[in-house]
Amino acid sequence: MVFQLGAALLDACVLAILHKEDTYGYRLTQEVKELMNISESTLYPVLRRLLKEGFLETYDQEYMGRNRRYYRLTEEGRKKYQTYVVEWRKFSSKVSNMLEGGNMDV
Amino acid sequence: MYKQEYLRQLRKELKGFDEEEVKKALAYCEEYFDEAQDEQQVMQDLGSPSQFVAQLKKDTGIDVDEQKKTYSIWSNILLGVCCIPIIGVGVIVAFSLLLVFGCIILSLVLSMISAVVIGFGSLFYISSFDGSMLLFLGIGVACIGFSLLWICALYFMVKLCKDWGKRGILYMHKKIKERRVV
Repeated sequence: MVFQLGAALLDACVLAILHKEDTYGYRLTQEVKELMNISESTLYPVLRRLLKEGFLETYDQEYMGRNRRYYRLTEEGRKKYQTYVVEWRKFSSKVSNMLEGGNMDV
Repeated sequence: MYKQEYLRQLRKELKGFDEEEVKKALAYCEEYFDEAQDEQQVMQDLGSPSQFVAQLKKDTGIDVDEQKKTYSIWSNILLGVCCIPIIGVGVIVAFSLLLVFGCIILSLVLSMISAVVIGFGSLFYISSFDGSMLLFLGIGVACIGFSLLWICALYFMVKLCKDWGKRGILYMHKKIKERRVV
């Protein structure tokens, strides 16, 4: 992919996925991997930081005799997600205007 | 089999993190192994144990940065202490050079003035105009020219010394800094 996903955008994507539904580490990684190549950069530090900042919380659930740690948004996380969406709309429309304003024939 | 080895290495790499942190990271990776069918893929997603921990350290930031900061402060202080004798010697040398040059200039100026005074004095106050007066006048004019030349030479010498000194100190600072980084 030509364009890179920065740290803030990665945070925003994780929050967005969890806003849809609670999920666990492996599935979360698979979803994020559809967006970007995260080999060499595991999602774990991101989750850890978001937990520490109070945007996420975890709960454990049994699955086939083992444990799955689910992540879910806190109220703070929900708010953070919403500000990210607002910021993203502003930013992405600016970028679109600039990129596509150059040549209308594309 | 592979999972156990990965977790064992991970535990080793996580030395220095507090126990709670280690437990969480190990649990995360173990769960990841259990979920993924393909161990090759786990390796790709999580990275090697050392990569995993490197990422974690980079993201945790605080303790690693703190260490770097104090290190750089200490090495700067050390650099300063090391430079004191060099700067001290430089200052003493500069002062003595200045003193010597000052004395030379002063003596030149004084001799010039006396030569001029004697020369012109003999021109105006003594009515007769003979060879000795002309000699004094000549010496006076020669002294003026010589001291002007000397001042020019001094100006360039001081400038050169200043540039070299500055470059030398900068070069040394750069070298020491580079060594610190390596």
